[in-house]
Amino acid sequence: VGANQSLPVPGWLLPSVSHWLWLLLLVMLLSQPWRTAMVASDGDACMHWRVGEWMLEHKQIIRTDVFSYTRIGHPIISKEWLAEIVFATAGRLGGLFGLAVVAALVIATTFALLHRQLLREGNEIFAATGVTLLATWAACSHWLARPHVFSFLLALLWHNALRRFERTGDARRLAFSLGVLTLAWVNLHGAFLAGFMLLGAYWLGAIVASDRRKTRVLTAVAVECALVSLANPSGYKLHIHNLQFLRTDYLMNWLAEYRSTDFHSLGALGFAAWLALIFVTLALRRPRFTIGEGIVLLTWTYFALVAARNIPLLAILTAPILCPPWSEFARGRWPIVGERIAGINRSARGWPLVAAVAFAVVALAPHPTKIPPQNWPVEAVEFIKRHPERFSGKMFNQYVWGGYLMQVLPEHKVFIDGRTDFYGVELIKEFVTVTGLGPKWTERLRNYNVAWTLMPTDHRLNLALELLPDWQLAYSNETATIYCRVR
Amino acid sequence: MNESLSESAPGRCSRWWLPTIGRTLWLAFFLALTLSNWRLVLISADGDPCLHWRIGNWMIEHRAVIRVDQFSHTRTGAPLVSKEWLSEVLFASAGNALGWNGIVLLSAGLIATTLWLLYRQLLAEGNELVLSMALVLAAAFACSVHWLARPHLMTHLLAVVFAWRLRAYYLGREPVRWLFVTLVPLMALWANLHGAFAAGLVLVGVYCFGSVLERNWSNARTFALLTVACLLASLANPNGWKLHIQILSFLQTSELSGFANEFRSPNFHSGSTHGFSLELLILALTLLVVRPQWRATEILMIGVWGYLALHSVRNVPIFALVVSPIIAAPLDQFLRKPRDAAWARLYQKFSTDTAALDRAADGRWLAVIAVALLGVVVTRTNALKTELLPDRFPVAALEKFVKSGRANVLLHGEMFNAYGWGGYLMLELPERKVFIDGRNDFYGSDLVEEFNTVDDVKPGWEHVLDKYNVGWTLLPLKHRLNGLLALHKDWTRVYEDDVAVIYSRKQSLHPFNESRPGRSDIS
Repeated sequence: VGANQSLPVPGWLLPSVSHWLWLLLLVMLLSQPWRTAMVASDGDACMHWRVGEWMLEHKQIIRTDVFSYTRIGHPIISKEWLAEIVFATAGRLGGLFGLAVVAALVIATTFALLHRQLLREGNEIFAATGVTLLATWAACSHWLARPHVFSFLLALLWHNALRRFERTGDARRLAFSLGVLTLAWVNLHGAFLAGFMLLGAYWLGAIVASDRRKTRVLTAVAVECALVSLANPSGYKLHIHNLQFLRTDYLMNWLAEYRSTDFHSLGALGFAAWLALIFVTLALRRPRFTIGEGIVLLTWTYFALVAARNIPLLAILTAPILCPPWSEFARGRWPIVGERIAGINRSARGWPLVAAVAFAVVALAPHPTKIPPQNWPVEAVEFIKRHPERFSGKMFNQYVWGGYLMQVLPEHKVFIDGRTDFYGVELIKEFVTVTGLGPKWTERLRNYNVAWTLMPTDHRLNLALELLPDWQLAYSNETATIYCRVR
Repeated sequence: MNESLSESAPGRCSRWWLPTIGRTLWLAFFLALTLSNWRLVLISADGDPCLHWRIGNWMIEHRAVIRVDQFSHTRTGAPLVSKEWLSEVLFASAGNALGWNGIVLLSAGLIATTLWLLYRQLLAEGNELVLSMALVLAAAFACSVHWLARPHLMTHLLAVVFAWRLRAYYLGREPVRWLFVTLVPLMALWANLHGAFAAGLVLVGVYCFGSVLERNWSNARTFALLTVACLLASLANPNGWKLHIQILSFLQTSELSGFANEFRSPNFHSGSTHGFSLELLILALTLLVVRPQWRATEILMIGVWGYLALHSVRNVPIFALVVSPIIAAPLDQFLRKPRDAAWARLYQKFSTDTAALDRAADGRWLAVIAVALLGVVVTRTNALKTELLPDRFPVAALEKFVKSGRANVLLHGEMFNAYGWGGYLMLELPERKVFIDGRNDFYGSDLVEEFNTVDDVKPGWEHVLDKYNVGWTLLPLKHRLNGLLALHKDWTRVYEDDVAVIYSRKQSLHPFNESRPGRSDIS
């Protein structure tokens, strides 16, 4: 196909499908309600901003806790210090919108790169675009302005490097790519262990296939990556900390994102569609996968079933495996149209245009981004700030609000926030006992010298405090209620 | 190989003690469930076995199908659409005859028979014995997530029968006449045994739609007719079409279907779903390694039941029972293929030897003797004591307090009880009516919401208790409402043990006591 001749406009004016995808995702994520949802679905966006801000202020990596009074001074294993600094810098520049821009850029880049990877691996353009869009749908359940979005991008690049090695056998390039990626990942987000699992899948595939060279190379690269992964502020302790956290059943069951998916919810439809794609691909197209690909498909499907937060990684990692059978199908159905569009796509050089539009969206379009007061104690915090003399003691706060309170009420230390792995099972159980009015819950509040509580208005703790003579209602609106101890 | 085996095989005289694999499976499941502690799990996992026994008992006593509620104070006299009256009568008869042992025996018999039927189906479809046995064990592991002494076990049994007959016709092994002769009456029976008879309609519907996809119009016509016939047959129940409306509206009300654990999605962190994970692994490995050439209907069947199982954990057993035969066929072909690999030779030798041994075995008398012995043990001795687990239900609270004379003085008004204890209280405390029990489809979303307001301790909890004249609560020791009532001046703790706590509203403050002061007076 003489694509160049058939271009309707000059190449530099025509963005490729990957560029379009990037732009569409970016614009979508930076428009409402997405951008608010990314920063305000839980308190962790604010929490990471606050931790990053502390590191920027003090020009050092955080080593001990300074935000809670329940574990103040305890050593912290910082799993994502670099991402926190990136978010905090963006927060300084653009506030909550800045956080949303970082997350949107990383997410859009991940899926645009996924699309480009699928095309580079020789997939048909309709199949590649369809699979990428479906992956986008499946993954969107966990799009939040938090460091884990870097894991999406790094998992994609890591898998791409492994697949390129499978095709070309270029060991040096693999060693270099994975070494650099490990260094970035281990400092950006705690889920860097996913990369090792991926490497392990291909390594096991090489062993089963009795491919000695491949086994040797992958073993050496695994050792290299393991050594590189020690180049983080906590060294080997980071690995131990992550593994211990993942093996703590209580926390895995307690944290919503580590629980199994609830298929009754609308948010699970994308995941259900991805599972359907896996099943239909295997049952109808009957592809022959390599052993490594088969292991990746099996393990990551299981991980996604176990914990909802693995769904985006499942989609990103299995898209390149599932796409080829559908490319073959599409080529059989629409050979001429597909090849023609692919030709135009190859000639499209419109990325400057896309970048200009993206810049205009980020820099020029109005973008008010606020924490929604109907879900967050925004007015209660204003009340606390107006009456500092009434809130001198220690606070007991709702878990989800912890990160927000760290950010907007830095003068008060929290009881708990989203750093569940740092707080540990014992403190979480204490928190659950108090909020569940469990045995001796009043004593536990006394043990921590809690002077005031900030909880959702419909929370049972408020109903119980109302009955206690030494507690008094200090503030209440539709969202939040504050009780203070009076003696 | 065969000759050597037949030489060593037991002679005619000794065949009676060596059961076939099928009988061994039946006996193993039946005896394991009745003799191990699993029998306590069957009856104690929730309050519903008690609930069904109580309702069945009422119907036996009154010689009538229950039409209005008799057991709750919140909806007493409200019309009741009984989804499983026949099972409840059967369970109650077993319970009345042999106590909890009777209910365990009936449940274990249903489970063992279900799995034995699956095994027979796999063999009838030409699969090798060892593979069939392995798939039955995997299916049993998956089904065990919902092995409880309740009417849904009838659905498991009938789902296997339906799946078997439908597949036999689909594979051209059974004439169309037999399909109608067996399945239509069975659907009428199913509609009286358990509310999940809709699973049978889904099975037939999938075959109908699958035939359309395969452009097999003759099959599509047959299955469409069968769907209509089964639908009509399902109307032969005490409530007619109202039963169908009730079930549909229940399934569409997410507040209700999400309320019960068994309608929620499987939790893959839990050990109880490992069987389901194993089934999914077998399916995935079959797809990846064997690359079967399934027809559209088979793919649709796996897809539909796979989604339903992911949607609600109670569908996991049906998924395992329905999908196992579909997986078995390509796996069997794959394993039979001659190979040089050591594992293949080992499998084929083991398979041939086991099949020869099975042909030489019989053991029906052993099975009869084992069941008869168990019957003697249950009826004539106290060796097999089967009672509800006292740490799961407020057994001591009832014995030591609620049924004592002190309770008449201290407990006034109606009871607020834990949801999971409702069935138990219906059975063990028939003189009091419950606030709620396992029949959440009957109670409806409004009452479930009111229950949640109190149970989760949300604003308005007192209003709900006042509305229903609740004078006392019976809740688990660590329940959050106890934490609140402990602080409340209107409530007094009158009983506490390691399992349950009872709070009573002070008599002068009882909602239907006219002298009760208002809220402002109290404060």
